[in-house]
Amino acid sequence: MAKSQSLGEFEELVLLTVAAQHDQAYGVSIQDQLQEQLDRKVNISAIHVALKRMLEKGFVDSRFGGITQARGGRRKKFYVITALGKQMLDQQFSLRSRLYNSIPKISFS
Amino acid sequence: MQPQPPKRALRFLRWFCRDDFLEEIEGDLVEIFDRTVEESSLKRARRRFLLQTLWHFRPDFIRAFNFFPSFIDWAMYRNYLLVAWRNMQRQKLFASINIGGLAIGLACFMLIFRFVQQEVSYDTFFPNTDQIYRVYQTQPGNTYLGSNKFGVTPVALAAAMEETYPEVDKAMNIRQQKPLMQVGENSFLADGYMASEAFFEVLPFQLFEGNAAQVLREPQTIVLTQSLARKLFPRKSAIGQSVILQNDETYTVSGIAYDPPVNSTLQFAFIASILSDEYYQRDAQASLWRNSSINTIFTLHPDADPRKLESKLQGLVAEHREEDEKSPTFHIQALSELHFENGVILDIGEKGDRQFVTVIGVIALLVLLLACINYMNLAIARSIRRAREVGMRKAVGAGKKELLTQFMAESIFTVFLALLAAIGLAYAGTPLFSYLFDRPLTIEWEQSLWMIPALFGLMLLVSVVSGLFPALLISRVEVNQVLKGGKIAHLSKGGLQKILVIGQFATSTALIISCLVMYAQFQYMQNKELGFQTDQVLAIKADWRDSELADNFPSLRQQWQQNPGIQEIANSNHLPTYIDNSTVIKYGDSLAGIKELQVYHTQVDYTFLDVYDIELLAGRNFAPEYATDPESAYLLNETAVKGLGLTAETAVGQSVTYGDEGTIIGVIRDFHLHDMRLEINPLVLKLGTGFMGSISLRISPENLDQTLAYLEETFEANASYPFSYVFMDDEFAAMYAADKRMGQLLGVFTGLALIIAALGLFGLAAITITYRTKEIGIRKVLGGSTGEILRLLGSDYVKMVAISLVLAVPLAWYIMDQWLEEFAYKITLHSGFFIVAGAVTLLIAALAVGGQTLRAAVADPVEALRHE
Repeated sequence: MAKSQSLGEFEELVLLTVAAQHDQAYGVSIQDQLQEQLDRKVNISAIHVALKRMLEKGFVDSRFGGITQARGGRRKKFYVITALGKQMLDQQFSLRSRLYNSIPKISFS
Repeated sequence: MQPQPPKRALRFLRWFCRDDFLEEIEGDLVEIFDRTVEESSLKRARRRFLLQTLWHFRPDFIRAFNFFPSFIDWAMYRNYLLVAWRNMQRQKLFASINIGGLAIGLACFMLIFRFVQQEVSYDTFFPNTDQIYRVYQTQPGNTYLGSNKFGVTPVALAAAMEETYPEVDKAMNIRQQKPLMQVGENSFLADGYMASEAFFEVLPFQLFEGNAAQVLREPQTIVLTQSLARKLFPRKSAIGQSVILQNDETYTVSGIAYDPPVNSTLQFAFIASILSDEYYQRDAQASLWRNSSINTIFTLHPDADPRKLESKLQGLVAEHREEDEKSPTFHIQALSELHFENGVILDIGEKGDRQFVTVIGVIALLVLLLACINYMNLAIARSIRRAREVGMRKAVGAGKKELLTQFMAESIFTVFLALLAAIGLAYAGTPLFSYLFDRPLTIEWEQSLWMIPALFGLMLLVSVVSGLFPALLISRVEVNQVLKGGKIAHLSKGGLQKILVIGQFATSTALIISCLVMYAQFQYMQNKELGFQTDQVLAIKADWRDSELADNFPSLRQQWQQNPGIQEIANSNHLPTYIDNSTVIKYGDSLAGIKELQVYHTQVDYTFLDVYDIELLAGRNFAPEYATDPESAYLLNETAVKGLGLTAETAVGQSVTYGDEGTIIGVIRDFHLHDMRLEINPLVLKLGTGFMGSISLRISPENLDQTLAYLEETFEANASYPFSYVFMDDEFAAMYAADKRMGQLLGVFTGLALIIAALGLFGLAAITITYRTKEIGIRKVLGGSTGEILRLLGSDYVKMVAISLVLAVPLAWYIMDQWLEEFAYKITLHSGFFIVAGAVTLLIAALAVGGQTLRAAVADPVEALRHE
């Protein structure tokens, strides 16, 4: 219903990042890229929450990475965007574009 | 060494976080931590880690908790119970002491609680208990038997209240009665009440046959209880049958009521209509309410305020009386207070003693507490031996949770076993307790449905505490240390346990002291100089309304004088043990001022003083030579004389007004008119003519049964009421019957408390001695003699008893002092009591530990050293 349809603002950002990192996206990597792009601090817990919710809504899928020495042997959870998730992004993008294109030429002097 | 993220935070995260997100969150956090350590500082990294962990504490990531998941582990439970059972088997004595002690304590508590509950529930079985009230009055300045409250009221009050106040639904009059009841050949004394029409509407006792509003509407009707009806009219319906009361009044049975329940203050075998009673009718029609001769009970509308009614009542009474400073005030009391109300004179119903109930309740709790503490004490001490088992379990993988569960399960199992035993014991003990409390007592589960969960809860608590303590302690045991045979030495000294044992002994000692004091007080009261003789004095409680006897008495008396077994005969209104009539006498003249004195009084005959051997201090006894004696001669006792401001010598010849004016012809020595709770009050004796209800005989002790048979025969031939006699010393003892029972009760519980304490000490000793076997062995090898060892072991226990004595003595002193305050004539508390109590306690303690201590002291040291 409505729950599976909505995409929050922050969630959108995270989803974009997940898509951008094609199957190599996980908590810290998403945080790094977002912090760089947004030029402000992003809370890791917010990202985790967003990822969880999107997982529930079906916008992303997850898989475990291999065991490594780093992170004390704890595996990474990689997220990858689903078809539904891509659809949501496209929708958002087209919405933004439409609205943007409907702006008349304004000059700000 | 790789820097670690803060352990606490990590632990916290692992605790609350969902399993399916834990790894990634933890991993991310650790990655960030490592990075921060490199780029910044360890401190900052740790702080960041902590903060980030906290940020994750939100509903999205918090796991769904299920507590104690191991509780669903059936297989392990079987093992735990098996081990528990085996442990019990191996230590049969110990287990039975422990469980037994707890069971006894529990059973006692249950029974006492049942009694308390029953007492408190008196009269609550009526559907409308809250609306039932009764009226009583207080008379200023008129103190009688220690109280100025009177339960009797004017007859017309009930009807007036019903008429005047809409909030009074129904009011009725009632009088307790024990008349002679005759049906055919049977005649006996029956207990019951005479009441006005509305009895069953005000007090809705259930009627088996008959309608509550109609059943007492007519005069000369009577309602019998089922048992009485069955007894009198075994095979037919009692309705319509006749019974004769008091030899001359015929009543028709108009209804049958169910026997009143045990917890009804009003116990009766019949309720008869009072309407035809001549005194009742006379008082009912009197325009002035001067006489108060019956009790009034009424029902109040549920919304009405009893306080308001009470104040309105004064107005109603004032209308029908002349107001003067002697006017009584009328009060309303709820039915629920009736049972415990002992301060009202001329009251009705079976009374209980609130103080007694409270005390007994406290004792019950004490016993329960002792038993529980005892159990916990022993269980804890016992479980220390399980150290090796615990070590083994840990070695094969038991975690703290498992060990905890095991000890809990075992503890709960044992405790509930005790609970079962206790229930069995309680059922078995009902006859004993019924005797002690003088009430039929049965375990009724429906009455106390909430007690079951309460007891369960308590048992749970006990098992938790006795299981938790050792469990926590033992699970900290290091596996290596225990498997090799090390001990947790400091526990066996058992500081906590010693305190508990001391507490138990202190309580027991205090109880012993109380018992001794009570016993001494009773002995004192029994043996104290009464001022009159009770030896060999027999009293026949005849009834002054027995007209046949009244007529025949003079000749009967002559006949009796002939009998060699009968030495002297007297006739009086009352027996000396219960003179309950009081009045006021006046002394003096208008010059010196009139003095009024409230006295108790009765009428006696010429031989009364002889039969009871009452000493005459001055003047003379009544004598037939003085023709004016019956009119105007009075005997006063010392207190009366003192009250008038005279001495024994000066009193003789003085004139006093007691009804009529008369002269004091003699002064008798004070004797106890009432029980020794009250001071001796002033007494006036007047000569009575005609037959009075109490016959006292001084009997010779030889051939007593012959004399009794003779008396019975001759009495029955001359009287219509049945022959009933009592020996005066029994009668006197009966005054204190209730106190005596209380003393017995206390004795039983003291015994119980002692047993429990002794068991506790026994168990404790067993444990500590076993622990010190090696130590004792070493001491012996190094040259200690048996005597020294004994002293060493024994001194511990002596110290404990000494401390408990120190605790018990002041407490017991204070409590007993308070109790003795009740008595106007009492013993003094002296050190003898405490010394004896101390000796008894010491003896019990010695018995409890003696055997084992001795055995340990004489044991072969080689064996002891080998002991593991």
